[in-house]
Amino acid sequence: MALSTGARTNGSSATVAQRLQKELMDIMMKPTPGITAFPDDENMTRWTATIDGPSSTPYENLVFKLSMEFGATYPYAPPTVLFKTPIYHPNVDFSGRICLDILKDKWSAVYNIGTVLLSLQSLLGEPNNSSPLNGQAAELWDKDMAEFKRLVLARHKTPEELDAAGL
Amino acid sequence: MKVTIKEWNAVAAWRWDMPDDDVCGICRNPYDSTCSKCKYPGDDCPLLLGECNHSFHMHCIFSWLRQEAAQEKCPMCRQPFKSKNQEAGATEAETPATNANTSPT
Amino acid sequence: MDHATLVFASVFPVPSLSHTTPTPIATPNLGYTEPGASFGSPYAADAGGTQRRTVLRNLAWSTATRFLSLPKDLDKAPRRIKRPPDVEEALDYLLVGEGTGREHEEGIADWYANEVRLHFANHVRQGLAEAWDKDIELSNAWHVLEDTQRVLDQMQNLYRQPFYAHILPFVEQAAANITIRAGRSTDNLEAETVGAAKRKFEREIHAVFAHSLPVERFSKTLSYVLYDAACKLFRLQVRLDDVAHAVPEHIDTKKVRRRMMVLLVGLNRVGLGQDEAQRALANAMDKLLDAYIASHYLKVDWYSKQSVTAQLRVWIENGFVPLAELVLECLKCDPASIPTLQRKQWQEMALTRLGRARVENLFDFVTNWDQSLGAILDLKEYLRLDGGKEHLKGSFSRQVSRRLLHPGATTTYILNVYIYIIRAFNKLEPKGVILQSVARPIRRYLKEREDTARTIISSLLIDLNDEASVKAASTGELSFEIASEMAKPFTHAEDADDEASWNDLSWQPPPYDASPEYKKSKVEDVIFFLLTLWDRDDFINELKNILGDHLLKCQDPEFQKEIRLLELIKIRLGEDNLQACEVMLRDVLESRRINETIRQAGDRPQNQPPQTPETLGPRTPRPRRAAPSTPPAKPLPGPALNAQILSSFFWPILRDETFRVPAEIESLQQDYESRFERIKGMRKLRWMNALGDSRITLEFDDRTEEFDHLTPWQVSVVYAFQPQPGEEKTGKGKGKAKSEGITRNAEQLEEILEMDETLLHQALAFWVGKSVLREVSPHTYAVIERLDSSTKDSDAAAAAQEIAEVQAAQSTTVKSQADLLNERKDVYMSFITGMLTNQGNMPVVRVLMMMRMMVQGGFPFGAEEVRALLGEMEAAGKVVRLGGDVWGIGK
Repeated sequence: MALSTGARTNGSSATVAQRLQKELMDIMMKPTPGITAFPDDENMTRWTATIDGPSSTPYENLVFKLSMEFGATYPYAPPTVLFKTPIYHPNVDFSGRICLDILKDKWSAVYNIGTVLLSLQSLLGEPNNSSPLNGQAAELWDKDMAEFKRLVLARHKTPEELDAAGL
Repeated sequence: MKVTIKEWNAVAAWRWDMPDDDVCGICRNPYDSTCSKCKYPGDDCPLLLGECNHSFHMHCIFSWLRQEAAQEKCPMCRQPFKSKNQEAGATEAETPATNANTSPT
Repeated sequence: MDHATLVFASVFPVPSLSHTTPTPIATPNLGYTEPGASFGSPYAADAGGTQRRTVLRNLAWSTATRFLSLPKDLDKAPRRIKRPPDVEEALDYLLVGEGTGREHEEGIADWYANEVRLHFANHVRQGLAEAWDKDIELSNAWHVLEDTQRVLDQMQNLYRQPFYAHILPFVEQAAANITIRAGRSTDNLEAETVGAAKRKFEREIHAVFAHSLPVERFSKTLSYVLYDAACKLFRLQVRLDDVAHAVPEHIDTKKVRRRMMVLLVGLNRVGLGQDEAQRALANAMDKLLDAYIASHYLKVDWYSKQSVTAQLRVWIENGFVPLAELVLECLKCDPASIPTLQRKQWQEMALTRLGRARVENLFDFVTNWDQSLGAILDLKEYLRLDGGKEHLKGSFSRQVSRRLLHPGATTTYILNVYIYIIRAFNKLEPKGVILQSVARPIRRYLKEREDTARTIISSLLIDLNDEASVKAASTGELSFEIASEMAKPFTHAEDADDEASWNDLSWQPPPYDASPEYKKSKVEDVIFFLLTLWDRDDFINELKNILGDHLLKCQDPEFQKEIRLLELIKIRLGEDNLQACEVMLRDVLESRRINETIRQAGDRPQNQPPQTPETLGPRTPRPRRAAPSTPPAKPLPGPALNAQILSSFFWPILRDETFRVPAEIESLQQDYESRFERIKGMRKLRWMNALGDSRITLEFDDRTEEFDHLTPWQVSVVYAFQPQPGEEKTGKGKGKAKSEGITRNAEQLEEILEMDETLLHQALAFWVGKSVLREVSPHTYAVIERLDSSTKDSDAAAAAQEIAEVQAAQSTTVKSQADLLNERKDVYMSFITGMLTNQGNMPVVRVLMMMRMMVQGGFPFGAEEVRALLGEMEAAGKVVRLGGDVWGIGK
């Protein structure tokens, strides 16, 4: 009787799930401060994450919720990340879509959830004002930080408020 | 008294010549394990070492390089990825399938 | 009449007691005057019409009663056929004419009935009482009943005769008179009236008879008689109080039947064939059923393996029911009118009895599978009856918990019995619902035993053709049954039962009492049940460990059984998570090939002497080397180094003690390593010296011994007793007997060999046990160059041998798994924290579900453990309880 062949019979979705499970274990074992993430269901293709606004930025002491969706070609293709918490930021539009290079053409297969979230966290403190999605925010960042901050706080909702609103 | 050893059946474990406990950056599986798609490690799922000194499972890096977005760059350092070594196990150059016929029963 | 009755009767007129006795003829009856009426001749006043009638009536009454009264010795008294004319007149008057009884007046017929009663009570009852007042011995039962019946019959006839002869004609006449007037069909009405009178009289006599006998006793006696008759008819042993009486050889069944029928008919004639008799019959049939079943069907036919229910049915149909019908016929009772006597119900009752009896012994039937197939088939029918299933389930569960699930039963025994149960119940109820319910406690118990997984997996790996392992199986450690299940050819599971059922014409809905998780998959056989005792992932973990251990020890170079086992598990449990097992198996299979390749790569240079020294390698310890140009096929005279190469990541944690191996081996190893790394680029080898085995020869002064299957550390230790360069053989100290060789002490050895103390001592004990070394002083050992058999030595040797064997047996190659929950508590807690932070508040069940799915390596715990974790975290302020079972992140 011969041994079975060298290929595994699980499909591509199982490969993604396996990798995501490993990522989950890593996150649990070695958590990064200011960042959390957890899958929505046993499917593991949708996750919810939070990042804390970095200190010394207009976003300090605020917590932002995001959704991440992983396709069948992850990690060869980037996940789709959206801000669930309304945020006033030059590179985020009103529906939460993010303009960040590593989420598009500069994506690499060795990036993971942790690196993505960390990058987003830095993005909060260092927006890319040359290609903004929210032009007004880009302008205000350079010109009037106080007003910027006021608008940030005005738009922000805490996770509890989000839950209550059913988001 | 004289001791003559007639036969010695030893056991040894092999691993890849990498720093211990490292994982392939693409599939996140340890190097000593397989890539996500393979069943058997070793010759069937070898490692590739790039000239930039980054290693991956062969299958993983190939899948990456196939992507247009990759532009044939190493995912770690974005240098063009060229394999430094010949594929591991090339000397044997036998697939397990053919070997099944030739191995002594 | 007793005193009390008399007193009573003096105040309250009791009709039965106010039985008038015939007035003596001498006394003329002149009548009487009504109260308040004037005296005068009874014939004078016409308002004495009543009076006149009364007088006339009284006269006639006297005459008649005198005639009709029953003397004491009725049987001896002559029959009075003819009536004297005055009696004729009197009777006519009383029954036909004006003297017929009016409302408050007693009729002559009634009087006669009373007379009968009195007579019976006074004269006949006595005799009966003698027989019936005490318990009737069963051997006498027939006689007593027959005698009683005879007596009663006789009395009945005697009582009837006057009634029929002297009263009925007048009743008929009276009826005829009426009908002349009315003009209806004369015959019918006459007959009716006469008939009515007859029946009334008979009823009264029968009532008297019936009351004269103690009801219970009569019933019991009759019941016994019937039972006895039936037993004789069916040639059964009559069981009285559980003592069987032998059946006399020659029974004339016809005679018995006739006797019974006669008795029954007779009893019916005297009115004893009604309720009591029927009750007696019911009783008797009941006992008969039990007796018959006990004697004919209870003993299971171990050889023919057939069900006996068909025969039972036949007997019921052809023997039992006809008998009942016959009896009832004799009792003039219409069998069809009694619903309980329908054939079907009798059959069901019989089957129920049989079934119940079988169920009591079900455990024994199961353990004696499959000789007991017949009994199981019986039970299959029993299950169709109401309540059968429940009874069987309950009784069997009790038997199992009493006889199987206790600490005295070995795990192997429990497994074997479980397998018998599966097989038997598959036959008993193919749907498997009862099995599922009965097996639940067994499975729970098996899960708690520590050695269950090991036993199962090891048993699955037994080679039935290999005698040694079959022997091990029969000693009770491994299960022969499991091994034989493994030897059966596989059935491949048809995927997607749901789809299959569309095309399956014989599909049936699950039984009504199936549990919600019931799913009839096509390959639910013994192996499946065994493999699903645990959660899949837990089982596979255990499998990994056991398999690892097994593969390293296994002798079979082809690993057929192991391959087969893995295939089996893949088919039954799916392929996930089995990668480690598959890799392990491939490793050992491939090792041979790789080994050959590497050795050939080394051998080839050897035959060409002008090779560079490095490839020749340090092969100096090859004393008796053959001629240089030996062809590669010949085995090398020096030690052969074979290696099993494992993929380090996939094997469980193996024992990894390090120590120094003999020098020659070390150099062989280095050589091997370099060749390996040359052939397989980028890889490194690590020698696990605690694993593996070796074969050596020891040459002493006076003997040579070979040892096989030694552990590496044993070889290292004994190797260290060879003389170092410059060391003399006779060792230190003068006066040492020449039989002793080199000595070493434990410290030295530890240093030289860099070996763990436990291993060292185990090896030393082993060699002492083999009379190779001797402990000359504490912790100092010497080689026994000459074997003088002094008892002290042999004792020590034997003792040491024992110790060594015990120690060796305990050494497994795999370290056991530690307690998971505590070890990974932190991981679990951070999981929970992450979960609640990102997904919001959650109830415990949801948390548990997530944990099971997400945690790598599985989460083999339940809700309780989750709650415990949450509790701890709450105490640390990390989470809060939000009511019900819901938890959330603490602020």
